[in-house]
Formats: sequence, C-alpha cells, structure tokens
Amino acid sequence: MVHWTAEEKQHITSLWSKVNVADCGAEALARLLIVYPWTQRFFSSFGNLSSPTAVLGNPQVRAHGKKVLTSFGEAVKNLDSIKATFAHLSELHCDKLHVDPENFRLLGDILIIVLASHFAKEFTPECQAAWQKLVGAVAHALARKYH
Amino acid sequence: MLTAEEQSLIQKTWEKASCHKDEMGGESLYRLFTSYPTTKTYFPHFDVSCGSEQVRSHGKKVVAALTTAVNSIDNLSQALSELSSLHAYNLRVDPPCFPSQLLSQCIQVVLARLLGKEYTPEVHAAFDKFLSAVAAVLSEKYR
Repeated sequence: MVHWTAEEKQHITSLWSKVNVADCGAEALARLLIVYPWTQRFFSSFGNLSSPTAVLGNPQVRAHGKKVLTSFGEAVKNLDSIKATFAHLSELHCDKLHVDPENFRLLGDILIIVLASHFAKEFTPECQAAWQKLVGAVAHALARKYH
Repeated sequence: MLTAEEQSLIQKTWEKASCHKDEMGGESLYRLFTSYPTTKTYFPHFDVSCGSEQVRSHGKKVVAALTTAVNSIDNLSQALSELSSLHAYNLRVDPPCFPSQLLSQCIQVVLARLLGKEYTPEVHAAFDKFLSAVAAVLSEKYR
C-alpha cells in the first residue's frame, strides 16, 4: 500500500477539484499520440491521427481521453487502495489490449506536464512530487496483473 | 533527428523562456530532488534545500549548457563534446538514460508552467525529442 502524507493528499485532491476531466484527459491523450507517435499503434481504429492538428481535433481521441482521465480519478478517490481499484483494468490492459506498461509511465508524465501548463501557480515542486508519486502508483497498479 | 521545423520551434521557445533563465535551472534541479529523491545521491556535497545557492548556481550551469545546445542544435555532438567527456569519465551518472529522463521531465514542467498554453503539443514534442538527443550525446562516451 502506498503511504501518503496529509500534505500529499491535500496537493492531490485540491488540484484534482480544479481539473476539467474532459479537457485535460483529451489533451493528455492527444499529447501522448503526438509526442510519442508509436503509441498510435493502440488506436488504429481512431481514424485520422496523421498530424498534431488531426489528433487534437479527433473526436475519438477526445472521448477516449475523457474516459482514461475519469478512470484515473478513481485513484484520487481511493488513494489508500489504488492496487485494488485498478486490478481489473490491469488484466484488461494485459490480456485484451496488449499495452506495454511503459506506456503508463509515459502517459503519467504527460499528464503532469498538462497540469503544469494549466495550473502554474499551484504546481509547486511539492505538488509535482505528490502527483509524480500518484502517477507512478497508478502505473504500477496497472502493470501489476501482467503475466 | 530534429527536423528544421522542430529546431526552429525549440529556438523560438528557448528565446521566450530566456528572461527566466537564471531561475529555471535551479527550479528544475529542485523539482528533480523533490520528485525523485534518489537523484540526490549524485549531489551528496550539496545543500539541496529550497533556495540553496549551490542548487541555483548549478542550475545556471545546466541552463547555460542547454543554451549552447540550442544554439548549435544541428551539431549537438560537437557542441557538447566536453560535457559528454565529463559525464562519462568523471561524473559517471549511472545508468545514463534514466536520470536524464527525470531531469528532462522536470525541465519540461518548468517550461510548461512558464509558457502555459504556448507549450503546445508541437513544442512539447520538439523539446522532448531535443532533451532526449542531449541526453544521448552526454552518454555517448560511456562505453
């Protein structure tokens, strides 16, 4: 189980309450596909991903980004049981989606950069540290059921 | 390989950030130490607390080196040759790629905070690629 200090929990929940999940999720997923184009291999059914403009404007990317970040929100609500929260999703990503867990780390780091660009004032070094710990814990939980 | 468009994006972005260059390096390093405490093992002789003059001063060196890299963006190997030797033979940051990824992340967080919306996905992609290229050059002589 991940141990969180009261300050870390505060940084996480306070920032999360300001996040527009649909917009941030869409932006994070779009950036993953643009900054690390090989990740597009998981989204071949999404249509036009041929340029940053196409990716940013793609409605399936938007919808899926929102879905992903909404799911991430479950970690924020269940900071003391992240592994259990993502057990099923871990199996799904391994058995059905065949996603290399390295990609969870990449998406986590991208989410951090999106948050930094939107919340400059709040995103202090301590806030970043709490969030890096969270994205690390989520990535770890998602990789846990791989075999 | 950085395309001409990416090189231009990087140079323009670095120019925009240049008024903050005195603080950027120190902030990136402090974020590195706070988010990734194991990186402090490379600086046992440093005061790594918030506001440390050593961290600020070292940060300026890092930013100066990156400025050199930005100004010689089409020949990073030559521009960073001495630093590459330093990292390989003296500093021996080990393993070469891992801590660089962490520092790259922290530098990008600082830039994203500074530039907000202007840290567009295109700029983000170009910078991520650039910082990876710098890290690769710095670890060229490891073995």
